[in-house]
Order: sequence, then C-alpha cells, then structure tokens
Amino acid sequence: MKEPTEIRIGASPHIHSPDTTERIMWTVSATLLPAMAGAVYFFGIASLLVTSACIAGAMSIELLITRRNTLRDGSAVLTGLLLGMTLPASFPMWMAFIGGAFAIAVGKLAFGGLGQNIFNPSLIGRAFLQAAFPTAITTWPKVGQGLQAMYASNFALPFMQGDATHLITSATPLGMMKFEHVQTNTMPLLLGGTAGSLGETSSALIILGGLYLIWKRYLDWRIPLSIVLTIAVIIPLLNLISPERVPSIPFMLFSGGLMIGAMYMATDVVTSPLTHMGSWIYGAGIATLTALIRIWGGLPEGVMYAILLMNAVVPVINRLTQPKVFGVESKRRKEAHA
Amino acid sequence: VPSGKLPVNVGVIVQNVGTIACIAEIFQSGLPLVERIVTVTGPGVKRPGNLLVPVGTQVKDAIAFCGGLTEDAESVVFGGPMMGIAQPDLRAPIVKGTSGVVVLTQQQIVKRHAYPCISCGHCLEACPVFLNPSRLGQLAQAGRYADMQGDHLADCMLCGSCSYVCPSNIPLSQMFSLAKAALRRPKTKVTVVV
Repeated sequence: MKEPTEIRIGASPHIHSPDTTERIMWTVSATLLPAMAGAVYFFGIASLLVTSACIAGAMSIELLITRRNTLRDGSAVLTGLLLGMTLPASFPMWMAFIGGAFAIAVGKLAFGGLGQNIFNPSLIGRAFLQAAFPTAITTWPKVGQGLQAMYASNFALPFMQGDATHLITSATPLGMMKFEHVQTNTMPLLLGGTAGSLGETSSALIILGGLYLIWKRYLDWRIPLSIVLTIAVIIPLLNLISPERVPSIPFMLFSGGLMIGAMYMATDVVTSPLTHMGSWIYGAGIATLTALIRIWGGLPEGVMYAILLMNAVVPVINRLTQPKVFGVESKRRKEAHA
Repeated sequence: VPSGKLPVNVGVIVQNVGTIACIAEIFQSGLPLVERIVTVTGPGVKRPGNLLVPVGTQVKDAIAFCGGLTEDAESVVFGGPMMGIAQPDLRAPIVKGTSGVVVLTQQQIVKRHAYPCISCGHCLEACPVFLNPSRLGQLAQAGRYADMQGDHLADCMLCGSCSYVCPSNIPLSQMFSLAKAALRRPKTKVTVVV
C-alpha cells in the first residue's frame, strides 16, 4: 500500500473531459482533408501548393510574433488551411503566404491572440487578398486539368502577377448567375466539378466534414441549420419582389462558399455567439446578408462579407441573449407580482 | 427558491434520505450517530464496496479493508469526483458527513495546460442553473469579484461542470470558489467588529 505522503491534493473537480482546445483545432483541420482531397482531384496538385503557402505564412508569423510557442494549439494551421480553401488553385504562392501571415497577424494576434479576435482570421486574410490582388483571386482555372496540374501563376515571383496567358479559365456558377443569368444545376454544385475556390467546388465533401464535427459536438449545429432555414424562407420572399434575379434555393445553398462558410467559417467558436438564441440570430443574419449581396450587390459572392459583418455584432448578440438564470424572475413577471 | 437565496429563506430544509433515516433511528433507539455507511470506490481501490464504519475510522483503514490502493492511485477524495475534497493525509478520519471516498488514478488526474477562452459555449450548456461561466471566468481573471455578483455568482453551487467541460482547461469553478470566499471576507470582518 502507498504511503500517505504519496497522494496528491488539488481543488475539485478532480476529473476533466477529454476534449481540449488543441484536440478541437486539430480535429477540425482533419475534417477538411476530404474537401482538400476533392480540391486536388478537381484542380490538381496546385491546390496543395496554395494551401501549404497559406499555412506556412500563418505559422511563420505566429512563430515570429508570439513569445510563447502557441503553434501547438493548432489554430494557426487551421486558419491557414481555411484560408487556402477560399482561394483559386491558380493563386500565386507568394500572395497566399502573405495572406496567411496577414490573417494571423492582423486577424488574430492584433486582438490579443487565440480567443480574443472579433473577426474570423481566415476571412480577414481573404478580405485582405481580395482588396490587394483582385485579379488573381477571381481567376478561376477550369476543372479537370489532371491531378498533376500546376499553373504558371502559382510560381509567380514575389510582387509579380505571373504568367496567366496559358491558363484555361472558367466562370464560377455565381459569376454566371450574376453576369449571364445562367443557373447551374444542383448536382454538379453538390458533387463538385464547377469552377471556384478550393473549398467551394464540392459542397458534399464540406457537409461530410461538418456533419462529423456536429456529431463530435465541436461545432454548433444551430448556426448552419439557421443559415439553411433562413435561405429556404427568404428566397421565396425575395422571389416575389424580383423573380428574374433570384435563383433557386438549392442553387443558393450549394453554390459558392455558402457551405464552407456555414460549416467552417461561421461556426468558428471564437467569433460566433456564446448563447443558443444568439446562434439562431447570427445564422439568420449571415444568410440574409449573403442573399442580399449575391442578388443585389456588386460582387457575385457575399458569404465572406456577410460573416465578417455578423462577427462584428456578436458582442451585442451575446449581451442581448444572456441565458435566464434559474430562479431569477424576469423584470416583467416581477412587475406583475408587485 | 429565489436567486441568491438558500432553501432556509423560504422556510424549507432539503435533506437526503440517509440523514432522515438517521434522525428516525435516533428517535427510535436513542442511539446517536456512531456509524455510517461509506462508499469506498474509484479505479484506485482494489475491491470497491459499501462499508458500515464507525465515525472516526481513519480512511486508510477503510481503504485497507477494500484491498488497499492500486499502484497508480493518485489522490483520495472525500465526496464525489466533481465536488469532493482531496485529502492530504490518509489518516484523515471518516466523519458523520463523509458519504463516499473516491480514489482516482493518474489516468484521470491529468494536469493540462490552460489555454485562453475560445468562447465555445460548452460551459453555458453544462451549467445546471444557466449561468454564463465564460463571462464569470473573465471577470474572475480580471479580479472584478464585485461585478461577478451582478452575473449571479451567488447562484453558482460550485458543481464543477463548467471546469469539467472546458476545452481550454480554465479552472472556472475553482476561480468562482475563490471569488465567493473573497466576497465573504469583508462581511465576516464587519460582524466581528460589531
């Protein structure tokens, strides 16, 4: 039998659930692998080049700026990976590197690091890239150029656009909807094969990863469900106002970045509301803004700005939707009693 | 029971069945509480069981009766794993309030690095009285104990659920317990002076 001196004391609770921040971050990253494999299948090995450059940028700046080694919490890798998923496969690697670095430096560390940021860091990175390199980020290579496909622009020297003359490009479903009023069928949108960013082409693979995370309870299912339901309600309403501009519900859901946005960007735990009620409001806001930008805005895609705008109001949502504490009477009921 | 109050405030006392049975026995036999049933369990005990032991028995004797500690036994807790109190010495006596002894092993007591709060909301889901432990934790870290009262710190019963689920391993309920103690201190001082 052990001696009395060998036992340990500590404050209760003495046990802890196996979930850790580290584990959540790495699991979320891992669930993006099917979508990543899909991107390689559709756009070639170039997808890996772009994503690796984003991750490298994110990790280097994290290593450079933070005093303690915060790389192992996995959030820098996840930010880089998610940023990569929002870029076209022909994107120059040096730009992707800068995007990853910007996402971490300005999107996360400037606010005080993990858990403190208001805006989704990957989307901050993408918003920066869209402002800085509007041409490169809207040049979509055509799908099906083989697994080994790499593009000359991937290897553009720093501060150069790269040679895009030999690039076979193709319009995205949202671009075709906006500028030519041509609506793509649902099946290719769901299974993949349409032009777009790495994580946009196959909604099915994104949903697969998202469902696993919901099952593990690593993401709040209320947010994607709220987005989907709001789209389903709002599209018929908008259709009454302007039937020639408004696409079908499945097109709205599965085209562009809505699925990766709903499953991975909007549900970022740091920048989404704490409360259940808040999650419903937040999802509804994202879906409404996305629909408005897509249908009446100047850009074909609106998911990114919709999420960033809703990120900004999360503190207000949190304050307005505090849970009702057990045993505390609401003001109205108290007045009724008096 | 209103928020921030105890059952006594509304003229009610909540007791568990064992206590009531003991009171009945005292009235029936006149014999005071000299022994009680104690559950000795946990993966750190070789033969867990329910024992009827005299009050005052040293916990090491109770554990020895249950086959002793296993090799990887790490801490001996009076009460449950969530709210119980770890004992610094195995000669500690079993008293009238000791209903269980849990021996935890190294696998269960994992000392982990605490990360910043990532606002995942798991603590809000876990809290049985619907508090916002995330916000309370931030106030506690800033030392704003008085502000914590506005967020119903008094309703926290230190069940430990928030600390258990927190993926960032923030010692939430431990901080709340500290805050409660800090808030109690000035009050006691006043009563002593008066």
